Amino acid sequence: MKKKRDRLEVVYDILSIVNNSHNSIKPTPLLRSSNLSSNSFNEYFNELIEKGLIKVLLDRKKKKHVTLTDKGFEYLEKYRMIKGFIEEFEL
Amino acid sequence: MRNLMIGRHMFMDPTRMTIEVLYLLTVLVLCFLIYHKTKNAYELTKHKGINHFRNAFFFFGFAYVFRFVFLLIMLSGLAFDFQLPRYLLPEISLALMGYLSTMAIFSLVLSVIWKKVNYIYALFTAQAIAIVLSIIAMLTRSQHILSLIQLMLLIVVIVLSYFYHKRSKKFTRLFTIYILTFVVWIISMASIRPPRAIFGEFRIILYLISVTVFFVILHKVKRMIK
Repeated sequence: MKKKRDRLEVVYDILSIVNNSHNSIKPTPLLRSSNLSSNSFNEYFNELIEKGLIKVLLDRKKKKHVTLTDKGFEYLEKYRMIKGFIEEFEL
Repeated sequence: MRNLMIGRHMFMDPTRMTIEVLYLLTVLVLCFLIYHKTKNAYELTKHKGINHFRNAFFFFGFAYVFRFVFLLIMLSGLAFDFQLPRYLLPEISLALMGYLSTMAIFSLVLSVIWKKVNYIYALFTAQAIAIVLSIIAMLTRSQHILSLIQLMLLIVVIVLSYFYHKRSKKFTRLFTIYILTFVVWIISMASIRPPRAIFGEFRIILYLISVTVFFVILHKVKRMIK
């Protein structure tokens, strides 16, 4: 059985999906790709906006697009390092 | 009278004050560096474990500052020509020292066990115990009682943490470092003033162990977070 992802990992996965979609993806495909229930996804989605890791932009047709912020890119860049730190100190 | 003369002679030793100031500054710098180095990791993730880990060193840094303030109050009049006001100042510095050091101990423990306990309850309990301890320290005006209670607290914490956590080799190493940090703090607090003050080489060895422990933690942090 696959190990349940922890919060950091889920956040990393969501941000990676956005990044791999040329930094622009609609919320529904993001939900599908994230392998989360819609309740969990909404929880994470709001948390990421609140933490300033992603932002939602509206295109000309007023459709929502999710993009990474600078902080979001930084998270992706430093994820492995932070994960290592958490594991080293058993946090 | 003779005892007073001996005490006065020992406290007037400028080497002691230099060692105390150097010790305080070193610990402060190390605590600040650990706190600062983990800032970015916390701001990015808002991870509770990282938060408690950082807070532990924030509390430790200030606990050492108030330990130094308390030491100065105790030595003033004996070691210097001036006397710091004795009214409320020793009580306040003892209370703050008690609160901050207890919170430092709990924060470090919480950083490791926060996922395994009722988080809010544990946080509330830690705050309550720290406040009660600081009130006891204030009322008794004794750092020896404070040390004794913290020692008992430490024993409880050791037993609890050990059973809450898996006994991996890595955790045992980390656990040893943390316990050493707490023990050195308790001894250095208990030994501030006579009659149980410790002098000479033993004090220096204790301070060296303390600085080494903080340095090892900083080194581990720096190795992980570049």
